[in-house]
Amino acid sequence: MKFPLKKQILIAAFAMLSSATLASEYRSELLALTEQFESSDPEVQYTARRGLEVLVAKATAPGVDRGISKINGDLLYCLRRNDVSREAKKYLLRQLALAGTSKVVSQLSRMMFGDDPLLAENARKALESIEGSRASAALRRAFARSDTAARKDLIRSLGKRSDAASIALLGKNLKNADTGIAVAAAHALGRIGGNRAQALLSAQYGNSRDAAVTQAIERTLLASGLGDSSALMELYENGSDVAVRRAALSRLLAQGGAGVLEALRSGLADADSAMRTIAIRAALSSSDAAFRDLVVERSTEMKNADLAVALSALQSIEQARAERMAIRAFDRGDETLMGLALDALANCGSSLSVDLLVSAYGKEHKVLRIKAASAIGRLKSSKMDERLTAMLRSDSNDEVITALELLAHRNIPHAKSMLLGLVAGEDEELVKAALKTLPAIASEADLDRLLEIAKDKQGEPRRWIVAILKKLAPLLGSETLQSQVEQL
Amino acid sequence: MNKLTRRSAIKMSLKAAAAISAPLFLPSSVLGLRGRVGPNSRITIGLIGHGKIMKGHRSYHLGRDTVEVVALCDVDRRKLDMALTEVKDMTGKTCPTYEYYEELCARSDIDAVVVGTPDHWHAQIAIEAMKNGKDVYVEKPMTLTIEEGKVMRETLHRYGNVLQVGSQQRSNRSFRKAAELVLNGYIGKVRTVSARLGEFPAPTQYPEEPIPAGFNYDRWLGPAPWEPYNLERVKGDYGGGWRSFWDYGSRKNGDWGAHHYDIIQWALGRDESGPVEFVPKGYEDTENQYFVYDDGVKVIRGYGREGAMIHFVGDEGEVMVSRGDQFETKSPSLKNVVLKSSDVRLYESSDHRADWLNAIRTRKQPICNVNIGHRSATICQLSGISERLGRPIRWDPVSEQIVGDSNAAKWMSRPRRAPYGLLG
Repeated sequence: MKFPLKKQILIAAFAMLSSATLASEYRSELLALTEQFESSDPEVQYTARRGLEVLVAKATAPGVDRGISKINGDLLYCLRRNDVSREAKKYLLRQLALAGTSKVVSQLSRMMFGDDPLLAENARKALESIEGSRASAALRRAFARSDTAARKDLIRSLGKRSDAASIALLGKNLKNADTGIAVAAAHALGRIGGNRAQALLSAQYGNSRDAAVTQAIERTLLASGLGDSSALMELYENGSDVAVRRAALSRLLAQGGAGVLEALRSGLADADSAMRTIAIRAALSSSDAAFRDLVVERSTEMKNADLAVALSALQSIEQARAERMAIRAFDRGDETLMGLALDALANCGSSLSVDLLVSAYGKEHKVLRIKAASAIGRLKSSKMDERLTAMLRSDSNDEVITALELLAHRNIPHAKSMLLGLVAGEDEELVKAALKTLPAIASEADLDRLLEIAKDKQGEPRRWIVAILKKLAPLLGSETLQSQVEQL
Repeated sequence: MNKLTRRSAIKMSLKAAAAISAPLFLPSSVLGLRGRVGPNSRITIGLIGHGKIMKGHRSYHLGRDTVEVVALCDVDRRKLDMALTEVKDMTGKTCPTYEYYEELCARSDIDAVVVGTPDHWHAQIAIEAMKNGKDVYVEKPMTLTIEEGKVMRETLHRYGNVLQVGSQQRSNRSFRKAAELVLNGYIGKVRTVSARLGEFPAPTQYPEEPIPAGFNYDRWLGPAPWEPYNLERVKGDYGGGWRSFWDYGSRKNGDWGAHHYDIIQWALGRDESGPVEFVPKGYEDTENQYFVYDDGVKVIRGYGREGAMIHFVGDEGEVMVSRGDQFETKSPSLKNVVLKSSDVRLYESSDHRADWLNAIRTRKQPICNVNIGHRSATICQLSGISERLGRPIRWDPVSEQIVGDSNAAKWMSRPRRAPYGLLG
């Protein structure tokens, strides 16, 4: 339906007036803030920056009626004014990077080609963040008009936007004579990802003679989620550096499918230990039992370095097999492997490992003792409880003392009553050893019992017990206990 | 040209392109471990960023027989010279120095790097190192933005590196014990946790000063917005300096939050997840900034100097833990609980750097890996975003997206100053 001319003019005027009203809510406050940027006082300048940030945050909060539209209009208004300083405009543009809409794209596009390089860059960064196809199109259009340095920045911006419409432009620039532009184009295609981008990268990979571009393409093929097995195999076998080869092998093994077993065998036999590492870990964590079996079988012949890797990746294999691997590794006698084996046994050990762990705790090597103690504490087997209980009842003081030390690491039923029984006993060496362990595990109830024991003791043992009570009562004991201890 | 020849040609071309200085040590490649370290070989390390925190790393690694420091990098010539002097004094040897970390990362004879720069450079340097096949120790918080964390995570998974984040409290026995008590329900249902972070002076603008000779300030700024140079802006100062600026870090939420929020995540069993809402101080009379998990656990940021660094309050007890092995419980007996074999045991490490070195050898991820570092840093960043916007932020830890606030969601990344784009 066509309106009469007069009515059209009225409608247009109303729209302009609405737009002006819509856009003016924050204008005066913005202008006041921009004036503060001209102050020579740095604190005033900072206050203006923060004020600008707070104002834009307020306008763009969820639920604010047309706040985003209004603040865009007012920011634009201030940017157009000649009496707003360069410094203020820089910060206005930074806010448009956060709050900008397609409404400001035209102005920002113009500013990208303005005389001021600082404002031009800030305008580009704002466009980089503004959602919608208009901003992407503006960046693409700018490409043709820009010099080399600016083109690299624009390419990065397009990549950051994951702008699929830029794929053709980027694909063309993969072949750019300027290495920097070609590398940037490769990275941008990698960020965009998808079949088209991958196809362009793959096609250029075979053709590029520039080492830096080739490396960039390899990495971005991996970054873009390349899943083609033959392409990954190509990267694994012929990638330009070990990092790319490693990444390709890792992807190949993780995704499975055709060629995986061959890649696994190749990886396990690779001269490069990094490749063997990837193969070992991938195989051990694979859902395919055949892969796990392959590594377990080969573990008996593995070099120590490779076995160390395997020991750290046993979580996915059947517990008994993991335990046997760890025990065999421990028996090799290499200190590093022994430590790793103890760590593994903490999780996969069973009653089979009880003797090994107790024996390892008895070694002179401090780190192995610590790891053994930890493994003893964690071992999910009641046999360990039985063993330590038996040691507590042993006729050998050495065994009893070892068991007492381990009570600080393993929670054994009735152990504390046995410990207190030793304190009450006649053997002074064991009294002392038991009292050495007690502070780390004592509860208030234990102190009550200890107090009773002290009353029946004489000489040095009594003195030792009283010293422990005086130390622990203020920390753990009731007021009643504390006053009783003070009277000792 | 057959494939083998092309590959060799490309390799030679890359080597010629990279600025590699002749090393004065035996790289692991000579020991027959090309690209990876066997259990008993030396690990060759490059140290990047020689401010306050790197001093501890330098002393540690220079004092170990199993490690060789073979490269130093900084954009400040003066700091680089001081670091090199220390290397010479402690080892009797010299090593190449670099202004550009890219050159250091391109060296095929370096196994690993330590990144000790300000936060805004952590991600890019770590990514470059990983893409070059290096293992990484990066200081906390792992990243400046959530986007950086996602890219780092993807990069590591793609290249298979070992990465440790410098949240070294996880390698302290007291913090681990506190976390195990909480995780295993010894204080019952957790209700609140308070974290004491302290406060920095408010950021401000400083007058421009001449840039000191030998300091590449443009490079120091890197992806951060251009600001005129002033020493107060760049200095490493645990009470302020660059740490107090939003452009380079997340202020106290990043500086100390990266430590304490990390322990809280660990204790609550949330390493694969995170909170769901962040509320800033001052919002509708909120006295202290806080965040909340989906089960109602509330983590409150305390400001004072009193009290424990982290204080867990549950229905059946409390755990208070601070550095210096200060560890207390209510009731006191809780402190002496020996975990049962059925209890969940947390990863044990007694030396954060050694744990990383061991992980390099075994290829098992260390105690504070990239996933954990990203999740903890995300809390730092979301706390900061809600503070800057002055309003609550809702977060979906599964999709890792800000919910219902499209403008706040833009803060998950930041515009990067050219030419310092983030390359994953």
